[in-house]
Amino acid sequence: MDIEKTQQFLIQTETAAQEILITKDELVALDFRRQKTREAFRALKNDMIPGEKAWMSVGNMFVKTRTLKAQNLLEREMKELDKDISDLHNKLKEQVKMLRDLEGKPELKGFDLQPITKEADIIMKALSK
Amino acid sequence: MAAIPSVKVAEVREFSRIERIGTHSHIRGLGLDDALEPREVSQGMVGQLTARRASGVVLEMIREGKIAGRAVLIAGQPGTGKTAIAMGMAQALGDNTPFTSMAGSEIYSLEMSKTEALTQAFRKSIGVRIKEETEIIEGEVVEVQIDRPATGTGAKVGKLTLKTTDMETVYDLGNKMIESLIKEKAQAGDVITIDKATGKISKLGRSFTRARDYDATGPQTRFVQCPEGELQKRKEVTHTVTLHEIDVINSRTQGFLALFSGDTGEIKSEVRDQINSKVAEWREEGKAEIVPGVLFIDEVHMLDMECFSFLNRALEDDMAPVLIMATNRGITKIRGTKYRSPHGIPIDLLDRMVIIATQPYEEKEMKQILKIRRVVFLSDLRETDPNYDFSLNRCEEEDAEMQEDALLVLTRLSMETSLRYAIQLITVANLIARKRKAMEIAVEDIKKAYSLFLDETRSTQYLKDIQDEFMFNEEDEQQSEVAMETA
Repeated sequence: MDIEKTQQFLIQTETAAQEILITKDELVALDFRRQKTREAFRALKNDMIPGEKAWMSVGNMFVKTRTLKAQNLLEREMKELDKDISDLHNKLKEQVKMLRDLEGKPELKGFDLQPITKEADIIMKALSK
Repeated sequence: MAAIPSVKVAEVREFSRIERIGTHSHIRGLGLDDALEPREVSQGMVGQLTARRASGVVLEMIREGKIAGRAVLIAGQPGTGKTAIAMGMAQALGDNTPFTSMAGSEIYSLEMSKTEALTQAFRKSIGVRIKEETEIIEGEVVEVQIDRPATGTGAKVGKLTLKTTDMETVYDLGNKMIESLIKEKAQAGDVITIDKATGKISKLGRSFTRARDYDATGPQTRFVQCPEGELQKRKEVTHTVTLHEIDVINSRTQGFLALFSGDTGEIKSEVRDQINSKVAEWREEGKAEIVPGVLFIDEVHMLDMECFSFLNRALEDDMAPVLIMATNRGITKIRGTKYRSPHGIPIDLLDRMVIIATQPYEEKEMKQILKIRRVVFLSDLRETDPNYDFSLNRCEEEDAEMQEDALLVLTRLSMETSLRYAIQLITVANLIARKRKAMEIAVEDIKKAYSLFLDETRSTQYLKDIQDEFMFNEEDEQQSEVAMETA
């Protein structure tokens, strides 16, 4: 009986931990795409003349489009990526919460708080002076 | 080739680590097991099982936040461990819960009224947990490229290449960023952090892989690992501040200075109301959590009638901490009136309190406490005395520093006189033993210490015998007693 329970417990915690690691890897991959998209956007802005067409790689394809269209595309993609990364962050937090729950660890204090960066900044700066 | 240490620590003698021995410095917690049952000797606490079990229950309720706004009274004879239990609770609660400790007489100050002092003490015991979130870019600098315009005037342009173990990217730099980089003296191989919101750059150190670039590095150089994962991370930091700190920051423009000089003065109630409503608003929006803490008032019989009425009211506030009080008085006069009451506290306040009683220690418990104190004293001595012989064993062993019969004599002494007197004798006897170049405290050392320093009973006896020869003896004393009553 004990062995089965332990096995069950191990399976659950290992799955939860694996999911967290997968989410973290996804975050890294998304950030990579975000940085590359940003670099492309910068390159278009700096070097290209509006009106001319530019080569752009979309996945495995190379596409020649007007620079303006290319810029819009890149901007849209960056916005989407930001949103995806944000969502992944929230997902990660939930997964970590679940893992800690499974492991029986006490809840992390202040995990679910909404951030109030402006005021918190003022307070901490005043306190640490 | 010698390995380069990763962190260079300055050669400072650890003065800050040596804590002065206080009467309760040996206490690390309440010494309870998981079922909240007290162990006989644990974490510095000895005996006093009922009181410790009760305190354990109170502690659990504090942790779950279920006892906010209630009061606990620890009452017992002098020398029965009341303050010790409060210290144990403070240690057991940990750093996250605000724990304010004060003595009853601290209320009386010329700078602020009694109610203001109490309100400040209350608000020092309530914490507010807030979180700040920032996006930061953290990576190792691969290359910094700055182009100055050929014409002499004009903005500089630059590129910064950052990498982590998983990716590498190039950033275009604007003028301000270039200035910051130059100011920080960021070079290839440095690991830096850029705050996305403020644009602040901070250097974390140099990357290990670049450790061999130079043959000699300055004393401030720290080597860190190349960061892993994504370049742009989200960082969340949680802080716990007390309501009092927020009050002070908001009550004057230079409020933060007042926090350290102690000269907070009276804080207007409008400021407090504003802060209460702001914190309530944050709570609704899920931006802050209230952490009710503990306010410990020792010698609570020193508070007078006004303070007690104020306490009655303040405890009913929705943001009130747990109030733990301690006193060793029996049925005495309430200060500020001529009425007598148990513990010098009015009955209506006593009614709101949960009372924990402490009992006098038994002989074997006293022996244990003396052993523990001896360990504390000697371990502290080791750190402060450069001549101390380090070859002696640690004093966990029986015969190392104090002989067994010396310990027995001391225990017997503490039963007859008081625990505190015996603890003081340990220090004295140890010095006497060292003076005669002995390694251990022997019975003769204790006898000598006993003869040199009188305890309370002997001193009173001695006084009764020869009081005529002291100044201001009995006839004058009666007059001065009357003078004290009306104060």
